[in-house]
Amino acid sequence: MYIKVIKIAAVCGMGLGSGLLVRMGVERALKKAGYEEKYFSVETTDISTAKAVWPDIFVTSSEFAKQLQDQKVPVVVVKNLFDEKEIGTALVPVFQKILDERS
Amino acid sequence: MDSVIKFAVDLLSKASILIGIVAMIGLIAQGKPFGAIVAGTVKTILGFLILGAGAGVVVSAIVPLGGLTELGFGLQGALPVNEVFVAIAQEKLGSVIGYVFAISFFLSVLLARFTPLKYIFLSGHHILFMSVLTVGILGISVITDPTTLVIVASIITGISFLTSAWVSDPYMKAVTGGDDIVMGHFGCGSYVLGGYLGLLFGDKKKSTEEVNVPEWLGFMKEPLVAMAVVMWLFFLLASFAAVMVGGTTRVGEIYANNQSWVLNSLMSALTFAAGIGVILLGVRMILADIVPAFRGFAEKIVPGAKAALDCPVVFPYAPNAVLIGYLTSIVGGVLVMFLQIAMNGAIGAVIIPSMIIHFFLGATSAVFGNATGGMKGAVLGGFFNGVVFTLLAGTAYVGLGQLGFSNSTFGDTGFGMMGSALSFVAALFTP
Repeated sequence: MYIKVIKIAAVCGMGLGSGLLVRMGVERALKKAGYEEKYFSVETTDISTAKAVWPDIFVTSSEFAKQLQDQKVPVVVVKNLFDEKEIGTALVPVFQKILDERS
Repeated sequence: MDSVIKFAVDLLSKASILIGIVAMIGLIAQGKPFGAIVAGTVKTILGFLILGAGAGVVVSAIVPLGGLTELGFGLQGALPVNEVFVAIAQEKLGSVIGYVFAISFFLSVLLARFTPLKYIFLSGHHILFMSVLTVGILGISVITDPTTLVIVASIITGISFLTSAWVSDPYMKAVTGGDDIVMGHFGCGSYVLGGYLGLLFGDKKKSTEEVNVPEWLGFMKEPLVAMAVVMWLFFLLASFAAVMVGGTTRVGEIYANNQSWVLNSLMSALTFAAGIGVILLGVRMILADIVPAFRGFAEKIVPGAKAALDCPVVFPYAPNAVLIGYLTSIVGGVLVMFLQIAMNGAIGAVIIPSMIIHFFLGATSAVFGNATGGMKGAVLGGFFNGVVFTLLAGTAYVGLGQLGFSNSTFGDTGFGMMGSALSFVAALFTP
């Protein structure tokens, strides 16, 4: 079966520190939820170039959510950027929905 | 045989290759598939080369600013943007940075294992910046032997990660209401000051989160956009002063063309921001595979340690304080800049406001101030962050200036503290 990878963008102001934390959290949360690594890829990006990435899902903090919401891409908002459980709870339903639509 | 050894030594003297090898070891240790190891290693090396290319763009844009401030105000100004400084410095300091970058982190993990300071510092960009700073100051003036330099710089840098995290710990409890994370960011001097001032003068019941902050200011939260806009203002100001003193022909010579100084100001500011964008891409690629590997390693050595994280992790706890701290920090920084101009070099170099530092440090100081002292704490935290880091960057620049990274310096309070202290010590040992 052909696998289409679901692309996730972890967005913060500069795309350096907290974006990378979110990326690691997303990877861990999805693996914990039982998804294999080949089904998704996570990229860190800054707020100014985020829209050029065209991911399937944005994951970011509440500060940047508004600036990303005008695209037709779902935005997952997390408060504690280091909390894998919170990331998982918010992200997994959105991720599963896209996975279902594709299969 | 000699040529093989020479090849190996030449190869390892390149910071980009060395960091690439660190990333490769990390990827292998995590048991990644072959393709991911190749891709991660190559991307890390490319990130380093992109960093250098971005530095070229930024330098070409800020070189005229030096000439303009000298002609217009008779003063040398310096711009505190860590990313620019690192990008310029890595070419001059070479592989020592690579060794210090890796060794200082592992040293801090070992210290966390055997001391009560159970913190893991996970802000890769700040590990890189602090390594460059200590190597830069110690390497040029005090320690000439590369091995000694690597050892001394790694020890100082490694200890700085833990102490910086440790001082933030009590205030992070007040900010997050939990006990899981601490601050892994070299703005802690400002954050703790903000928290302390809030405690002394504020009232935490009058929180920043109960007031309304105007929506249109939101664009200032994009660091690249804010940099472009504010730098244009500074280029316009410096160009105008230079035109008043020397006339349009001489200003044209500084910009190396005969176009209007208004247009030149605009293009220089935009080119500057574009170069920062390139550098950010480079740093992002350098860290993408190394930081997860560092984290995996540290979690095995010091299980249960608190993670020391990048400053924006506290932004969601007080979004209004973020904007308030940003603005009051700029006010503090601009006031000190005028003071530095008035003192004519007596209190260090003239520091041009950098929106990246004002945003991240000003905002975080205000979040700390708000947690202990509400609105008043946030305003004081932001304002004094601007004052303190601008003063420290000015004195640190005097030490860094000898390195010949003209017009560029470090920003964050912690870098200013370390830079000023090391410059002072270095001066004692320099005949």
